Amino acid sequence: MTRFSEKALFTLLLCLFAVLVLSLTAGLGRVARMVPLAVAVPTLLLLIGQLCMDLAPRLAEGLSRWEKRDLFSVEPLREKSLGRIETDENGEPSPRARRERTALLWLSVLGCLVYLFGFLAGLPAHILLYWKMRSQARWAPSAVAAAGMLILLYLLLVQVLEFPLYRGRLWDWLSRASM
Amino acid sequence: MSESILQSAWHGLVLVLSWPNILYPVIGTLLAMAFAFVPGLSGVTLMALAISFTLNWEPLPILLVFGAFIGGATFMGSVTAILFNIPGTTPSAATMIDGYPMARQGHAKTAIGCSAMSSALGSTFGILVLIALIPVMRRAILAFGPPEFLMLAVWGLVTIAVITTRASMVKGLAAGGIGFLISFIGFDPRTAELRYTLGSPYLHDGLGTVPVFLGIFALAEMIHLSATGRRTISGGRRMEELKGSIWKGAASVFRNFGLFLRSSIIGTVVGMIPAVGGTVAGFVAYGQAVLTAREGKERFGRGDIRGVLAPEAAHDAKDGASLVPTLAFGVPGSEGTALLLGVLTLHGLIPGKELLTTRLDLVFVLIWSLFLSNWMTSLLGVATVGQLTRLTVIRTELLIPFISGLAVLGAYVSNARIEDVAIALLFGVCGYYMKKQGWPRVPLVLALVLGPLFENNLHITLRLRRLGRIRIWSRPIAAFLMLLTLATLALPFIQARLSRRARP
Amino acid sequence: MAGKRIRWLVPFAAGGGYDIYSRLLEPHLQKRLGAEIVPENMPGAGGIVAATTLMRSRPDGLTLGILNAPGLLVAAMTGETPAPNPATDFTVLGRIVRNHAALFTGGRSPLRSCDDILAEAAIRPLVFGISEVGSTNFINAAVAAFLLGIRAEFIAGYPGSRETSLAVMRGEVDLAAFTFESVQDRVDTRDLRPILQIGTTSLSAHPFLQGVPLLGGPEGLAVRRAIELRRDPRRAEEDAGALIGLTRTGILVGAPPGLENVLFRCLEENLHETLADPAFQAAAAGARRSLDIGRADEAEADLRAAEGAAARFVPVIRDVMSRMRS
Repeated sequence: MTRFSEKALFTLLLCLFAVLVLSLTAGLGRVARMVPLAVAVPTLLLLIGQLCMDLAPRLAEGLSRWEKRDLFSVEPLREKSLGRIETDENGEPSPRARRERTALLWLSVLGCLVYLFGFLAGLPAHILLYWKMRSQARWAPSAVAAAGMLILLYLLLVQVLEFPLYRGRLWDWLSRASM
Repeated sequence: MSESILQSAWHGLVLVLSWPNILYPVIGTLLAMAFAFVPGLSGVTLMALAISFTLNWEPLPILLVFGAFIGGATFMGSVTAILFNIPGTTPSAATMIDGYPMARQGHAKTAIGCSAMSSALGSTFGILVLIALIPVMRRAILAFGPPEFLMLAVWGLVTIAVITTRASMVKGLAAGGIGFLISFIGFDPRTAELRYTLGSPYLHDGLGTVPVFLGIFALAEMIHLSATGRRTISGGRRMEELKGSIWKGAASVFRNFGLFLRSSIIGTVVGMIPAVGGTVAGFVAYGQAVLTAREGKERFGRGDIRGVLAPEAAHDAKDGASLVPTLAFGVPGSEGTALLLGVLTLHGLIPGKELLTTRLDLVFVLIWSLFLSNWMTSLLGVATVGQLTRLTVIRTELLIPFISGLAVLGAYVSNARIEDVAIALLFGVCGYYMKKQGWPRVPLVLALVLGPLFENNLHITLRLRRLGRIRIWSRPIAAFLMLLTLATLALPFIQARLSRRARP
Repeated sequence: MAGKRIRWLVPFAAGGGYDIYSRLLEPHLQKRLGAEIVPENMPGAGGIVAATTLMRSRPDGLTLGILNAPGLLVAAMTGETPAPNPATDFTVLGRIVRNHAALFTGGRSPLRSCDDILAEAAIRPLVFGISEVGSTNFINAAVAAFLLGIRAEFIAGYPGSRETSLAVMRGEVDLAAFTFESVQDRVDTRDLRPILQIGTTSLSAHPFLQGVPLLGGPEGLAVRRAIELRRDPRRAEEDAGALIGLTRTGILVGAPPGLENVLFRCLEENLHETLADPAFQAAAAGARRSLDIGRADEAEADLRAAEGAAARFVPVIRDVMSRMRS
């Protein structure tokens, strides 16, 4: 997906959120909907305006020139006083799509591990897998890093502070199965 | 200042500095620093967990320890904000705006030095105000009612709107609007209706600020670092290549002393607003720093030291200020002071007239402990800055799973609900795309925090006015804040006009 | 229970009243049971989140909790938010304290007595401050206003009862309802003045409650006003009794439903002994927390009575709520 259409898609999602809020507002009483309505309508109008500019950049550019400012963020602001737009070590803009998908995937993995196995198992497991598979570290340092997190969680939160950590859905299922 | 206040202040100081009492604030400060450095954990978490430990303690060590907890957490939260773009505490989020770009440019030491000095002096300012207000504390608190809180919320929103729309007015305002809409989720106390909860009991109390902050800043940053393949936070620089100096950072506070004073005043006043003051004080101070800057406005957001100085002064000044409503009437000024209130009650110390008259020496024990821990934190933070900045040269691929994991843990710890983790992850993804597509995140989170304050006080003020209970124009503080808001709105236009005239 | 770990659910944030009672109980109950008690703050939905979690936990004696009985009953009664019913959805182990509510004016208010209130109400509606529509304080205020036959306006949205008390002290509202204990420090400093006790007997021996009229009872103000307004005095007495009964269900200790009898007896007995322990009572007094302990059967009887009686004034509550929404 090109950067441009991704921009419009993101704005569209925000618009849909505002539309959802507006539609739910209709079911509220007069007092409860007063301020939300007063906020939702202009927000939606602004979002629709931004969406139009995302879909028709020439129009936005023209309006921005008239406003003498980058009103609708058609292009990144020029770095006037400090440095250039960020590049990688080779001076080329970094290809983000693949890395982005990978980053989001690893975040999902973190969420799933915590949800299923809880914090005590999920966080160290995430570190172990991330270091080994993503950062290309060796098994030994990865295991040490994971163990470090486990020790920190167990000693500090469980033993010293007695904080009840989430144990994971798997634990709940197993507990119920054993009843 | 009356003799009894001075006597109590002296007696309190003697109690704090004596042996073995001095151990309590020292250990309390070290613990609070450690907790605040871990994203998501904070001094508040530590206080909540420590309540059981201290159940059988005498009042004196309790005050020493809890005063240290309040003071010790603030600065270290800013260190993570500077180094990793992750607010260690929600009030530290404003420091990120310029602190993190400074770290990326290899100036982490300068930023931390400035933060340390600004924190220590800002907290001293807040404590001096607290002490000065002791004789009139109760009158001062009663002078603030719904119209004043409403105008403070409006001023805060306008300040943020004016500065964050520099890049894109439409996106800034729309992001603020979205933050506002999110703030309406939950139970409406005025009508007992559930708004936008989609039938979920989890959303009854709305979205918590901690999971949202951690997601939209911390997790989004981790995704961004990973997606851009940035090798280290300091941009591939090695330790010996890191520029900057602690002393240069500390000296900048004195070079911009007017800004420091204004920010401390803002932190003190805004910090007294119950519940939300701490989070927004830094942002409002940042906003006024941008608005009142005579030159180099375009550097804000890209590593301007003034953008670190202002929020740091404000959110440390608020520590002392947030004690004012707590001590005067038992109305907590922040989450930390809510816990402090519980602890005080548990040990028979009831805030109010009695505490401020017959037990004033214990009040000063709390104040001195807070003062001591603020300075200790800054000094220790500066002493360890060399080690801390090493973290910016570690490969991000090794740091990311730790920081993400701790952020997710922090989201859970705030309320012990796994749904908060889901919220943090969701806002992590949203925050990343907002950053990628050039949508400012600060107006969203600020509107989220200020929304309930604004809506509640708007409704109450309108009702009171309709019932003839108040006359808005006879309230000088509200009127002053209204003028301040108008001045904030007008200032950019006036400045633009003056600069156009100045050009040949 | 020896050696076990008991999860103790607290429905509000750390530092609040329920948390304080929990922390006070913790060491004493721990010693008696031989088990480790781990308080877990679970704020949300006015106590409903913790109550729901407790209700859904396994009845193995390893999860207990402290319950806001009036709040849960009110939520169940008004039906706005799905809430467990303390009368039917828990195993009640005992009561820590009964809530005693009263109406208060500001220390500097010209309204210094019930007679002043009634006289002023004849001229204009009185303004009540409340934190949340549907809260126990709201119910107390709305029903008391109805029973007194006064025109009332309600201003809701103050963040908590302390902030509401500041509104009363500032004079922007005329009155508010609070539990006496929660504002006793402000009564002592004369920042607040109690003007009507929501009870059939005096709430406590506090000197500032001497001479303050009672709402309930055959000689109470509800009955006197009913006679003046030509309403049914017996109904007024019953309505006042229902309101008082609701408030008095108090703060309870509960366990999930379906607790085995052996476990129930063990926990109930140990809880009662803990609450009656002079050391615990001294600790509570030191923290200025009053106690009005009751055994499980007594607490359950209160709940059943309150549940039935409270339905009487649901129409009054709904009427006020619909006015607040429009």
